[in-house]
This record gives sequence, C-alpha cells and structure tokens, in this order.
Amino acid sequence: MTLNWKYIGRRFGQMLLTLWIIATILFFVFRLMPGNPLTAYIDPNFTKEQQEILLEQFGLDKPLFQQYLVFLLNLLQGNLGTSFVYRDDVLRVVARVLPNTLYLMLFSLIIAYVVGVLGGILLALLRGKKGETVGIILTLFTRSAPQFWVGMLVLAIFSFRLGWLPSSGTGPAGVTYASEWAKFTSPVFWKYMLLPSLTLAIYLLGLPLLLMRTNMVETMEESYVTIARMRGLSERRVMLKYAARNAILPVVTAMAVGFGYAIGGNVVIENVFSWPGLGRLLVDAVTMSDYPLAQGAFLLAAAIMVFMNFVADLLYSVLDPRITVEDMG
Amino acid sequence: MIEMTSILEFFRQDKFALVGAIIYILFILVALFAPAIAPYDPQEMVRVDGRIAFNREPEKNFKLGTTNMGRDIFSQLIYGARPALTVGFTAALFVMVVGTVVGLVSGYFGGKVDSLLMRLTDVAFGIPFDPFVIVLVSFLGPSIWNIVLAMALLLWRDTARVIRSQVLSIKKRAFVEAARVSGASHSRIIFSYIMPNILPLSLLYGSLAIGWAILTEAAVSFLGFGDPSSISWGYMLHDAYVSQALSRGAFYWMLPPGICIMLLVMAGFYISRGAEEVLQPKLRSM
Amino acid sequence: MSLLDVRDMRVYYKTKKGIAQAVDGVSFSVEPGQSLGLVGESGCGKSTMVNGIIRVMAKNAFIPSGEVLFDGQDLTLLPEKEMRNVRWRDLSLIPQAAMDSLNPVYPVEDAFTEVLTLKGNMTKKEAHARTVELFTMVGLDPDRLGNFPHEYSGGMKQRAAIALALALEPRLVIADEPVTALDVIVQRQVLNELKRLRSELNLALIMITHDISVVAETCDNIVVMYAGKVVEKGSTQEVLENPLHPYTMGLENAFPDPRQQDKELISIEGSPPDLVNPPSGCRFAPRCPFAMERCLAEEPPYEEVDEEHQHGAACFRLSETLKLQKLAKEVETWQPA
Repeated sequence: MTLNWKYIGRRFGQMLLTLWIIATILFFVFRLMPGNPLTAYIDPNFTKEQQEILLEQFGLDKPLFQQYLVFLLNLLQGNLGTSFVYRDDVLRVVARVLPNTLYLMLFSLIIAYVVGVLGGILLALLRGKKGETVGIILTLFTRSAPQFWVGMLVLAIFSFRLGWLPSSGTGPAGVTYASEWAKFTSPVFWKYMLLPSLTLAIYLLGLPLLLMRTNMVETMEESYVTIARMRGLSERRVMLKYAARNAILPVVTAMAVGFGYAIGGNVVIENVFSWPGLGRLLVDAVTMSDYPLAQGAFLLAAAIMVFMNFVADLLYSVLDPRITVEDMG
Repeated sequence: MIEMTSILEFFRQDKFALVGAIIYILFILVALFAPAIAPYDPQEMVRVDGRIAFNREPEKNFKLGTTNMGRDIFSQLIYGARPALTVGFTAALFVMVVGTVVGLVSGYFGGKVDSLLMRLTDVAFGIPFDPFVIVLVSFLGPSIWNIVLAMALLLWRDTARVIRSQVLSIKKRAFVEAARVSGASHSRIIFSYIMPNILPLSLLYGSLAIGWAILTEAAVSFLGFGDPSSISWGYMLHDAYVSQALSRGAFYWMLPPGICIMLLVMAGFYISRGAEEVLQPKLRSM
Repeated sequence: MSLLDVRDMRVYYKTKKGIAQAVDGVSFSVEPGQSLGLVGESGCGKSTMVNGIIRVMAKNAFIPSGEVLFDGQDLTLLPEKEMRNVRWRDLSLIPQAAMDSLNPVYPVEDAFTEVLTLKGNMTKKEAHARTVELFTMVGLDPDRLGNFPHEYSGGMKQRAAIALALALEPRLVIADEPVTALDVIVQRQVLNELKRLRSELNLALIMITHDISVVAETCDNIVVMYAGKVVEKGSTQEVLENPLHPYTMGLENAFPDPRQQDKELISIEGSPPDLVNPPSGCRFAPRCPFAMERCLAEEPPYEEVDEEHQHGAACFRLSETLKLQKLAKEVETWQPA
C-alpha cells in the first residue's frame, strides 16, 4: 500500500489550519457573551485582588488583538484557564474524563460500522425480496429515533424494570478504579459501558448500513464483478473481494460524517446514562456557567472531530489507489 | 424543471414517499389546528376536583396522563408539532439557501473563491454540531429562534459540498461549454443551465435537513437548553427525564413524544429516499 | 469430436413486457485449434449466447432448451460448482475492450495470482513466474505488474485481459469484441498477438464482433447471426466471397473494401425486431429487399449448400443466390420501398 505523503502533509496542514480557525471562532464567541466578557475567565466570586491577577494573566485589560494573542499563546502551552467549579486547571479536568468518552465513542463506532457494513451487504444481497423492505424500514427507524429517547427507553426497560444492567456511571457508586488500564480491562467497566455504547451504536449504524447497501447494489452491477464470476471464482469471493471491497470506499469517506454524529451523539448519550465523559462535562459546564471549562471541553471535542476527519481522509487515500489530491477539494 | 404533474406522479409511484407526504400533511394539520384538537392548554396545570392532577396515568380526561407538574400530556403532544415543524422548515430553508449558494459560487467560480469557501466548509465540518448548538444557545438564551440560528450556522455544510460537486460535473458538460463559448454571461449560465440541475439536489438536502433540525432541537431541549415557552417534544422528554419518569416506568409520558419525533423525521427520509432515486442515482450520502 | 458443439441453443430473458427470445435456436461447432467469427449487429444475441455458454448471465436470463457440448459434456446441465471448474480452465473469455475487467483497487498482478493459485494449484512464486511469462507473451512489460488498472492504457488493459484469459491454458477462448474500442494501430497489434498466440498454443477461438474486416483476417469460419438466429454459416472465405443470405450481402456492403476503392457504402435500412414479439416467419424479412410473401409467414430452415466448406444459410431463396448477389451490390436495391 503506497502512501501519498504529499497528500497526507497537505491534509495535516489543513487540519491545523482548521483547528486554529475554530479556536479563533471560539475566542470571539466567548467574547460575545451577554454581560461582561471578563466573566469568561474570571469567576465573579473571586476577590478583587484575585480578579486583578487573572485580569493580567489573561491580558483582559488589553486591546482585543493582544488578548487574542495571549489566548493563542496560552492555548499552545496547554493553558485553557481554570475551571470555576472544580478550581482546577481546565486541561486536567478535561483530561480526566476524556478517556471515558473515547472508549465509548470508539467502541460504539466499531460496533456500528461492523454491523452497518455487514448489514448493508446483506440488504444488497436481499435486493428485490421482501426482507429488503423490512430491513430498510428498520434501519430508517434507527436513524429517525432520537438517541436520547432510545437511551431513555433502554434504561427504563433494561435497567429499571428488568434490572439487568446498571443505569449510570462507569462503575458502582463510590468505587474508583486503580488506574486507566485497570478500568479498561475491568469487566465491570464494560458492563457499565454496554447500554450506552449499544444505544449510540444503534443510532450510528444507519449511515454506514444504507450507504454500503446503495454502493453494493451499484458495484454488483459493475463489469469487473461479472467478469470475476466468469473466471470461475466463488460467489463469496466475488461478493467480498470485488463488490464489497469497492463498495466500502464511499463508506469510509463518509466516516468523517459518522464521527460527527458520534461526537454529537456522545454528548446526549453521556447525559442520559450519566456517563462521566467530555459530553457530560460540557453540558454541566455550560449549565453552571463555568465558561473556561465549557470552552476547554468544546475545543477538545472540536479537536477530536477535526482529527477524526483527517484520519478518515487518510484511510480513504490508502484504500483507494485512484484518488488524486484534487478530488478531495 | 420540476412541474406539478411530475411531482404528483412521483408520489403516486413511490409508496414510501407517499406515506411520508401523508405523515407530513397530518402533522401540519395537527399543528395548524392545535387549539381545536388539544383539550387543554399545554402549560395549564389542570385540576380535578380542585386539586392539581399530578402524574396521572392515562384516563378519560387525560388521554395520555399528566406530567409531574399536572399538565396534560396529550395537549402538550399536540402543540409540540408546532415548534417541531417551525424549527424543521426554517432550518431547512437556511440549509438549502446557504448551502446551495456556497456550493454554487464555490463550484462555478473556482479558484481563490473556491478555496476560501471550501476552507470555510472544512471549518464548519470541524465544529462538532451538537456541542456548538448547546454552547451557542446557552449564550444567546433558550429561545427557539436561537436554536434555529445555531443550527443554520453549521448545517449548510453537507449541502454545500454536494452541490459544489454537482456544479463541477455540470460545468464540464458540453452544453455549458457551448454556452460559455458563445458568450453567455455568468448569470445566464447559472440561472438557465446550472440552477435547474442542482435545484432537485437542493430540495433533497433541504428535506433531509428538516429531519436533522428536528432531532437536534429535540436533543438540545432534552439537555435543558430548550425553550420553555414552546413545549417541544424534546422538552417534554426532558421534563419526563428529570421527573424520574424512567424509574417510575411512566411509558405513557416517555413514548408518545419520541414516537412523534421518529415519525416526522422518518417521513422526511421516506420522501427524500424516493426523490434520491429519481433525481440522483449516483447520490452518495444519506 | 468437436471441441464445442452448440445445438439448438436458446437463451431467453424475462422482462416486464414479456419473454425476450434473445437467442433462439442457434447451432454451430468449433474444432480444436480453429477460429470462429461470430458476426452480427448489436443486440443480435452474440454476447447473450456467449454468456449463456459460460453460464454467467443476467438474473432474469435463462436457458429453456438446447445443448452446449464441450468435449462431449453438456455445460447446460452441469451444477454450478462443476461449471465453476470449467470456467477459465477449459474455456475463458476476453471481455470487450471497453469494459473494466479488473478489480480497480488491486494491482493488475493480483488477478493473475488469484486465478493461478486458486484454480491452477500454483504457489505464489510459481504464479508470479507464470504471470511474467504471460505478460511477456502478450508484449507487456512485467515491471508494470504492480501497477493498478487505471494506470494502464486501453491497449495495455486489453492485452492484460488476453494474458489473463490464457493463464490456465484453456482450450477455447471467447473474445467478445476484443478490439472494437481500440484505435486502429492498437487494434492491429492486438489482432496480430491473437493470431500468433493461436498458432503457438493451438487455441480454439471464438471471436465476437460486428466488424467483418476483423473476422476476415482472423477467423477460419464465420457464423452470421441476426435477431437471435443463425442466418448463415461457413468458412470465412466462402461466406464473404459467396454470401448466401441477404443479410450477409448487406453486411458486406456496409464495410469498406480496400480492393474496391470506390465502392459505395450501403447501409441496411431499419432496425432489428422486438425480441419479445418477434415477427412470424423470417426475422430479417421486414428489412430484406428480397423478401417474398412466404418469408413473412414461414421461418426458413437452415440448409447446407456446400458440404466441403460446411456453408449454408436460412433462406427460402437459396436457389437464386447468384441473381440476388448481383442485385445486392446495387444501391437501389437497398433503398426503402
């Protein structure tokens, strides 16, 4: 598999540019705040002295452009301010919960894409039969039902009524894990992650499934598929190596869109299941007017998103030897 | 161009689209005639025998029961169609207009304009949608129009990319080349040749956007940033969640709003699926 | 015994409008090492029949009757699993030049390796050696084996397709319009290649084309098809110099002949019939300048006229061949009535 380094470099550069623009937008959005722009950084509950120290530290008494430079400088150093509520460095607060979000998101994405792609192939093979219509309708259900609602129902049934699975958190109340690794490898953790990730996966699988199906239906008609059959290759080989392998390419491109849904979905799911991740942190921060924390959480979410887009682009360029730099726009 | 007869024909042929259209019409009618259909005002704390009817299960007077604040769920459900459709159509309009214009200008003029607009689109894609809406709404205040604005700022991105793609391929076609060579002005080429060919795609994404917008508004309301003066279905679910409807198993409260959202969004998908096959057999994303 | 003996083969399609009789009772045979040209205009059923022989057909196509005897074995009766064995090992196909016949996301060599290891029982190393051999044989540079199909030119892709068809040393190769989409120079190269390979490997070849000039130089025998039926068969020389069927006469008129510089090109007016509702009687009759009433009512049976060259046609006016041939050369004959 050849890697087009020029392309990768270009996309990486674009990624950084995008991140910078987003940070800038964030800077101005938080300045738009109704009321005193200072409240973005300074808790009104601080003493006057503390406020003045912070004022200087963030350059809030200086002209806008200088503030912006200070902001950028701080950003590059990893200084996202101090959380009002947690009284701790924003980056640290966020970093504590980030792994939970990543586990949830990645796990859900993997399930969603595996099930989605396989389901898409299955539906394509069922073309013209009754099963196809049923399959499509079911899939559309998953795309139209709000995930938080599905989460609510799932909780009401499996957690509250049947008591099979826990309803919130990453572990039983009062229990903390010894380390990240201990958490990741603990079966208890996975038990807690099961419902939220399945709920998220249900929502996410619609896109890859329908897309894969559409593509499969198209590729199955391609001449290289028919001719592969004429070469006396087994039907399974023809369907997988020739049809599916080509059909999956646009699904990978669309992965960027999928990631977008995943992050958005995460926010909601984390709140329904009280999963201590980035999404819940963001909502809590916004609700409690903890602006530095909200800003930090949002920025991180954006960074993840932009990075995932980049990864999706990379993946596509590796899988499809035909694309050129121009194609990606 | 799209004509009346071909639209009707399209609906008749595609059963999915027909069902979708019927669902839409039903909801629109419900929204329009809400005051006539709903037995109570959705905000009214109803009383039975002088006492507020908290958390009633479905019965004769309260077809779907009442909330923990004593409000009739059925009435709320009926009135909930209004914010849903309002948000849906307005956001969709924005998406269509902005997305199409950006995609058109970008694809047609190319060069620096294209680069600039595409970088802008990249940024729009880089911003996570739901978090952005949440943050913006929390700043601007929980009004339904703020939600629409927040959505409109980002939602045009998919449309822009797809329209741009389409414009690029139309531009290459012989008849456009011919028009350019014979000296047709830009606006003439755009309006006579390109627009008719991208309008269907625009409409398609517009109808998809209705669904996205409704789902987003529901999510935002559910998280507590919704507009309490117009009780949307998402808001109803927020209400249910925070009043422990889950643990009480109050399915009469939890199911209906979600089902309504699902039906309306699905109706949009049904229509756009049918349109997708007719207009753009090569269309990729959903 | 012939290598391939097609007897009264039919291939029909189920369509919304009815059953299309795309191939309706076609018979011909190919001897080992021989080359047969299958000629006819688009839609006459040539490709359908070939797809039927190799049994990779559209979902709505089926073989209602007929036999396809390959080395005495009826391919139409074979279960799919065994048919898969026959494919590519005993008979293979060179697809139309315009078609993408290779998987776009794998290097060109992969198609060869796949077929050689899975069906040829070779190890990867052996497969590679053989692939290099095949590439050299068709005049392609083995260094380009690692390239992807989109990096090949049209001519190169076609040559690769030829090489691939020969990979397992089949005894019969069917070439479906192998050169139609190529420019003249490349056409020449590919045709020469095929000729050379045939003589080196004693390959039997069925060449499908609508270009008579290609057939003229590559094939020993010709089968002329029209609307799903065989209208004339025989050795190439005989058929071209002494066409028995009005359709064949018409076809010759439509092609330039370097020997007759000022030959006027005459085309046959009209279009092929609807195969769902074919005309009763001779299917060519509606367009035939020599049609009699009998032709429109009854279907003419195939009659062999020259045993030595196995030359024959399906026409009621075989006795008047010389007269018809003369008339056929004049422009007025073919003017619409």
